[in-house]
Parts: sequence; C-alpha cells; structure tokens
Amino acid sequence: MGETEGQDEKYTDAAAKYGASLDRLAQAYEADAEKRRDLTQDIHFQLWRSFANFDGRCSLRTWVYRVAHHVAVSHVMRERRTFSKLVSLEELESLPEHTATLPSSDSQLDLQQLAALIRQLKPLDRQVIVSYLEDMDAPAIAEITGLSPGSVAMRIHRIKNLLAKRYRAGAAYAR
Amino acid sequence: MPADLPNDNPKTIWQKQPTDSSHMTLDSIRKRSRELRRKTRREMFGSIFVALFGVAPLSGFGIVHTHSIGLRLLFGCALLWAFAGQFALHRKLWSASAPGDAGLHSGLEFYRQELQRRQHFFRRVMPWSVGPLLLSVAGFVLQLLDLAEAFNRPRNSVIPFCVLFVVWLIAILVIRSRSRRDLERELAELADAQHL
Repeated sequence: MGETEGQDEKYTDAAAKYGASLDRLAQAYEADAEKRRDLTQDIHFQLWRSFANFDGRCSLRTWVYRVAHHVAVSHVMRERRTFSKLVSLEELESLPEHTATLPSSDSQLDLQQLAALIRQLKPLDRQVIVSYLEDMDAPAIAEITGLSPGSVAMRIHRIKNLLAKRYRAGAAYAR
Repeated sequence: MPADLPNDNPKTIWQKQPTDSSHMTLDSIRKRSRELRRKTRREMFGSIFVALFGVAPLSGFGIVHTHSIGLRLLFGCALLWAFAGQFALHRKLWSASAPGDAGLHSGLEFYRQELQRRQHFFRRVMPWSVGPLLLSVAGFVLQLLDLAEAFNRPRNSVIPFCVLFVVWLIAILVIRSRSRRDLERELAELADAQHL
C-alpha cells in the first residue's frame, strides 16, 4: 500500500478533530470493552489508509464518518452472522420499554441504556441515530448515509419520539 | 414530543461520555497495517485448512485403501474439486476492498455492497465447498459397502453413518437458507430505503 504525501498530516488532523466522536461511534457498535478497543484501532487504521484517496470531493467530516461507519458495519457483519435479531427504528418503537428507560439516577447507567438501545438497531438506522446524537443536521446525515434528506428527517422524527417515550417511561419509573 | 427531552438529554448523555484519549500514533498504525496483512493470510490459510479437513482425510484414506480404480478416480476428483473450490472461494478475498478504500461511498452503498458480497459468497459455498465433501463421502460410503461385503458383514451396518451425515447436511442446508433469506430481506429493505 503506497503512502501519499500528506496522508499522515490529514490523519493527524482528523484524529485530533474527531477522535472523541470516533470513540463514541465505536460505543454504538460494540458492547465488549476489549473488542471496542480493537474496533476503535481498526477505525483509526482504516481512516489513515483512506486518506491516500481523499480528494476533497466531500467534507473532511463526511469522509471521516463514512469510513468509520463502514469499518463498524463490517465489524457488525463479521461478529453477527445473522441480521434477524437487529431491528429497524419502526420495530424498536413497538418493542416493550423495560429494556432501556431513560433517565435513571445514574448517568453511566443512562449511557449504557442508550448505547444498548442503539446497538439493537440495523446499520443504517444506527448511522442516523449516532449522527443525530453527534448534533448533525438532516442534510449532513443524508450525505453520510446516502438516504434522502426527507428519509433522514423522518427517521430523526422517529428517534426523537422513541427517546422521548423512553425518557417519559424512565421518569415515571424513577418516581 | 422533542419538548419532552429536557436540554436534549440523550445528546448530552451521549456527548459527555468518557472517551479514550490515547489515540494511535503513526508508528502504531504502520505496525497494525503489517499485523492486518499477517492476520488476513493466517485467516485464509486457517479457513482453507478447515474446509479441506473433511475432504482430504476421507479422500486420502479412500485412495490408499481401495483397490477399485473407479473409486480412486472419484476420490481424486473430490480432492481436486476441493482445492479448486478453495481457490475460487478465496480468490476475491485478496482483492476485496477495505472499508478505508470506500470513503466516497455512502453508508447505504457500502452496506449493500457488503451484503451482496456475502450473498455471492454463500452462493458459491455450496458447489465449491459442500460439493466435494458430498462426493468424497459418497465414495467413502461405497468403500464401506465394499468392505462390509469383503468381511461378510451386513450392508446395512453403514446406515448409522449415512443417517448422521444426512442430518448434518440437512442442518447445513437449513442454516444456509435462513441466512440467504435474511440477506435477501435486508437487501430489499435497503432498496426500499433508497427509494423513500
């Protein structure tokens, strides 16, 4: 694999800007801490590799998130030999709420529940929800996922509904 | 609805999670690159070894112990078929694009390509991997029948082995067809999502 000029600098820049987001992204794809560390390293390695082909046709952020999601999706496909246990946002809305209800009195528990909820989702919905939680708007998410902005907006609406429902259920449970 | 989320709570929970600040250095990345190449090679040889594990001993045993030229030919064909099959199945692995090469592809495109690659692989597994095994087992059963006759044992003494093999084969077929259906459903959902 040949290294192009500037590949190292581009990677260093991207890692400094998006390193924390990439760690959070790995959390959305892998529950096991050891495997998550491997996944994060893999994401960084593939990201560095990808900069040999980066020509600025899309923004640095879009590029970084695309590559990171690609690596994570490959990881999920390797780890889970079947997709039948992953659900779409629509299906998740109809699942019982006791599996993950926000908020609890413990913020670490809230995070674990939120991450567990995300890890139940199919890859594309997972990409949308992670991008939404990272504060991206619909056009930016559409560029990363390849879905239409309308479809992304509809999914974000569902995500908000779902999280609000879980939040209400958690608040009621806490009382 | 969104108003029910005070201060965008899930976003805050998500973004404030502790992260590992020890990122990879460029040296460790290069080291990982070398490790990855070694790992890919090891995995490929490992899977070839496992795939040949069923065919090679049966065929080898058959070739050494049979006096029938027909059976020897059959075992030889099974061995050749198995080696050719492993080459055909793994040929594309060397040239498969890594996620890092697909930065221009959207999440949807990449996921679809991965699913199609896996679908393609499943389609080839039956003829290239299970096929030679079936042939060598058939030869082995014929050889057992010959042996039973030579030692004046009843021919139906090979039935337990055949039953076990058929049960294993049915289980493989059921698992494969379930995986195939999963993949087809997933691809259909992606096509729907793209047209929304």
